[in-house]
Parts: sequence; C-alpha cells; structure tokens
Amino acid sequence: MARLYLLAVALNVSVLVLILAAAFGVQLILGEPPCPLCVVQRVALMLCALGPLYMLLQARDGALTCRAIAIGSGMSILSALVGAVVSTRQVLLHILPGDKGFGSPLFGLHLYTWCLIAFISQIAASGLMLIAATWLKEQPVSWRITNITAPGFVVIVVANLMSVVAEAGLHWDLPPDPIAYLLFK
Amino acid sequence: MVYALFMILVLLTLGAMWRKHPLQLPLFLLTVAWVLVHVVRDMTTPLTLSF
Repeated sequence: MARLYLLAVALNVSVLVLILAAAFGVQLILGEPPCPLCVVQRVALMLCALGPLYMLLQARDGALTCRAIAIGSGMSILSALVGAVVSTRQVLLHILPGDKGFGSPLFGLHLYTWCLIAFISQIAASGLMLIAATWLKEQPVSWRITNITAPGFVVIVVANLMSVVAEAGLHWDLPPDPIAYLLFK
Repeated sequence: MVYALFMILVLLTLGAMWRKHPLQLPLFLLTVAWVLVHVVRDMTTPLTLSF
C-alpha cells in the first residue's frame, strides 16, 4: 500500500511538471511570452508540486508517515487555493462577451482556464490523498522514486526562472502585455 | 525580478526539504504569503499585473 501511495504521489508531481512543461512549450512554440498573472499561476503550480515532493522526500530514508502526508497535502491545498484565486481573477478579466482572452487557446480553453481546472483538481487530489492515508501502514519503503521526480521538477523551475529573467530584464515587474524579452532589447 | 525571486524561493524550499532542514516549512509559508500579498495588491489597485 505504501508503494502504491508513493506512486500516486509521484504521479501527482509528474502531472504538475507536465502542465508546467506544456505551458513552457506553448510559450516557446507559439512565441507568446507569459503575462504577469500567467507567471504567478506557474509559481502556484510549482508550490503545489512542493507538497507531494515533501511526502516523497520525507519517505526517502524511512517510512511514509501520516504526519508527512498531512503536511504535504496541506502545502498543496494552500498553494492550489492561491493559484485558484489568480486563475479566477484572470478568467473574470476576460469574461465579457466579445473579449478574445489572452494568448492562444489550447483545446478550446485558454491556459488560465486550464490552470483553474488544474488547481481545483489538485485540491480534490489532496483531499483524496488525505482520506487514502487511512489505509496506509507506516512501514519503511525502499523505493527512491524521488530521484526521478525531483530532478524533473528542478529542470522545469530553472527553465522558467531563466525565461522570466529574460522576459523582465532588469525590471522589478513584467509589462502587463508582454510581447518581447526585455533582457535582449 | 520579483517572479524570479519567487522561483528562487521555491528552489530554496526544495533544497531545504531535501536536507530536511528546519526552515523548510517557514520558507514555504513565506513564499505562499508573498505570492498572496503580491496578488492581493494587484487586485486592490488599478490593472497592472494582468491581461
């Protein structure tokens, strides 16, 4: 059961990393630098991933405990709530009839709408993880799945970090409607 | 630069979590609180952040 639980936790991190990678791919392929709210949503996605990563890292050299699950799920829920606030704000900014929204849609929905769905799903997933802890036996798990998930997370965070530095240049904030990378201007 | 600082804080939190440092949760909470303050400031002032 502990192994299955860890697999679910690793899957949670992987899905969040994939969402971040997809957003980064849209940015590079379509040539659309992210707006300030989009970047905040990416940061919230990264913070969401820290929750399951906390569980994996705590279980690395011992048993996966209910305490680690509670803290990790709490971290994810808090972050997802912040992210949902940001996504909802951006959805509401473009809710008027005739507004085409910001950026290109993906499968019919804009990225901030997908983000809102992702944050709500993360809250639901964390709730399920908390409930599933009932059936968990706190036994040592010799399974270093963290060694696969954590580096992937670091790579996507560093890529976003470099991208946002290129986009903002030496400015404290991003322009509201970015169209170029200010560092290279 | 503020967004880069958020991401650096995320990486620092991950580093602290990796080493099981006592600052792991304070760092996480600091980052979440700062992001929240940033967003609330944007929501209570004329449109600056978004589009």
